[in-house]
Amino acid sequence: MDKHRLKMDFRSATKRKLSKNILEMKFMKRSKEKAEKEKEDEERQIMFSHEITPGMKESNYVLEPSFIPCEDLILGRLSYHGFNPVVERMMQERIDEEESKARVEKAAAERRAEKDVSDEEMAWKYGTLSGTISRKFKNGVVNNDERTNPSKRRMDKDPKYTWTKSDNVNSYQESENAEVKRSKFLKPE
Amino acid sequence: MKVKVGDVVVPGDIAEEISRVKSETKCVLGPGLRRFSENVIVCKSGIFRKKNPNTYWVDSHQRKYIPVRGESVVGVVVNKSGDIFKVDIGASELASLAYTSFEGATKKNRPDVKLGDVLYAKLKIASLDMEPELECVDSKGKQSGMGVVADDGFLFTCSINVVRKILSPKCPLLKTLGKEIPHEIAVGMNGKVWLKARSIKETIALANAILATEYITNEETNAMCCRIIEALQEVN
Repeated sequence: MDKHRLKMDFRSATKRKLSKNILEMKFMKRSKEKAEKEKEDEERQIMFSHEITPGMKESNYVLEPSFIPCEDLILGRLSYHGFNPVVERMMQERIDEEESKARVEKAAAERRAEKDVSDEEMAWKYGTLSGTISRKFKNGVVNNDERTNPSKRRMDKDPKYTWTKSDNVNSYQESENAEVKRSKFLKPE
Repeated sequence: MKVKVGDVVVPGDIAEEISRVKSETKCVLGPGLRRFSENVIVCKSGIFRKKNPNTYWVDSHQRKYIPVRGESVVGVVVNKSGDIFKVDIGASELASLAYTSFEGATKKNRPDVKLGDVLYAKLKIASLDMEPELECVDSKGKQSGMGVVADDGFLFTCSINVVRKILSPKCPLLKTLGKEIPHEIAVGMNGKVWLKARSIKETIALANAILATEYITNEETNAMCCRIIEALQEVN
């Protein structure tokens, strides 16, 4: 048990720690920031662990001191009629991004809405479909058997016999099933 | 007193509705609300608002800016000392801005920033007890609209409500005016607005339009925009 935990500790310790020299490199700037933040969080947690009560940890509230997410405010750097092309391009990019996001959301909502309507329909269709499929399978068995039982085909096709068909189907099928079962054990010729 | 959404609230009121919410998703408490043991209490006067799902805040009138991390602000450079600029963003303290937090800036390659320049920047650090810190680059190290704005133009201060109003997606003001009057604008969440148009007349018209929107509805804003555009066309 202890050995296992030791191993886990070792693994978690080696997982993300990059060496100081690597983090000093210029292209590692973002990773460095991340590493520093993690370290800071860890230290903070250790420092205040005895002061944090369970009530503080399991809060159902998130504090948001800014109005921007509450009121969905846009970024306040705007340009119109090509006054500042750089800003205008950025603005356009933001608008495009939002539009595509809205489109995706709308499509998802529509799909959800559509699904709601078609659920019953689908249930109904599946209900009938299962009937159809089972009939098909029954037919399949019947068709298979037609080869071995030509008299039956004649019975189906022949108008003379059609009126008895519905009555006879069940009895036929039973006998057919029995036949199929039996034929399973037949040796190939 | 217990209050519900849409009420006028004062500090000390208990937002009972929020503590009654039983849901899997977390409640977001916006500006003007804070948690006090089991209850959520109001700490600003204004109107209690709600947005789905589970976001609550108090819509209050305010002119003083309290820095919030991640918000974009407009400020004026007032001091240069060593490695940092001091920028007035209208908060209780001057914000600091390091030389290196500009796009492509290094210790040798310093950005060209003079005293009195107007900046559009993002708050990198904003804690209650320390001076705020600004940066002019996004997370990818790109400028993305931030930095020193053009030398000319007009800077004015308005209440934070005006800023929130003109930046709200429903407000037609800037869109309508932008169709007729070419201009460039930097609106900071701190209530400072920098504006630049082709002529002084247009600039004044835009600034007055922005200041006038505070207490009028969106329909009235539309009508006002039409009047301004007509007036400007007559002048020209």
